Amino acid sequence: MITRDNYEEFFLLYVDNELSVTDRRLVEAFVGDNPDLKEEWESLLQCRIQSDTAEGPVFAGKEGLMKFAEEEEEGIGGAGVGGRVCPPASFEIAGVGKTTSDRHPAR
Amino acid sequence: MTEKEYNECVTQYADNVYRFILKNLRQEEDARDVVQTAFEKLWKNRHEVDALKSKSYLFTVAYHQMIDHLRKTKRIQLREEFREETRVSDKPVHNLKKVLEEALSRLNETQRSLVLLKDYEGYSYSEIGQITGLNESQVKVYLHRARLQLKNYLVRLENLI
Repeated sequence: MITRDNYEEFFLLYVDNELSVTDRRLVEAFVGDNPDLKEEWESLLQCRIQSDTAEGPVFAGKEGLMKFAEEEEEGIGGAGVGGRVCPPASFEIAGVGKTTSDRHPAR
Repeated sequence: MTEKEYNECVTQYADNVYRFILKNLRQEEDARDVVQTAFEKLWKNRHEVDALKSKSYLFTVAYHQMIDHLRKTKRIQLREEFREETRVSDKPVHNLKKVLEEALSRLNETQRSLVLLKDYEGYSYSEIGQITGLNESQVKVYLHRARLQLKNYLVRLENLI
């Protein structure tokens, strides 16, 4: 039950999208019944950080992260995946994956 | 998870993890290192990781890696925050998105991470708890505090304009 004593938590749960549809409607109705809290409510709604997916930064060179197990095993002289312990070596292997990607156009 | 599923993870999640880490570290090179390490770990442990949980796995590894990095560079970080404080008070920003960015940068790394995991990725309190190692109640309390700090910053600035 949302009241003037506990409304802040309901507002925050609403902003965090942690309420059921029914509870969301209750919060919206509560704001309608208590216009003096509308400003506070709207300020909280503004505090959601919008993802800047469209113009945001991207990880350049994703193909460098890709792996191709068969080539990796060949590339380290048949030692197998488990035999590799040095991270820099894996980045070289990722590079091998990149050059061989032509052989896997679907990827 | 299979090799194919791993490579799909790269395509689908590399940008998400990178944006999340970059918002906290602010240095592109450092953020790239963290992302690369996270994918390296996923590759090494791919036989134990369920493909359906690969995204949370990546965020979990990257989050802890980032916290380690921030702890190591804490002193530098504090100096940067002090500089920003001065800059913002000199030149108030009017655009809501920019104001929120500034407000976000003033939160501590845990609060900022929780807000980003919630708003960028839409994770639930429970999922955020699994990623960060906090329990669900802590996530809720810290996130609510962070949200109120963002709101107070916004309101304070509106009153100044």
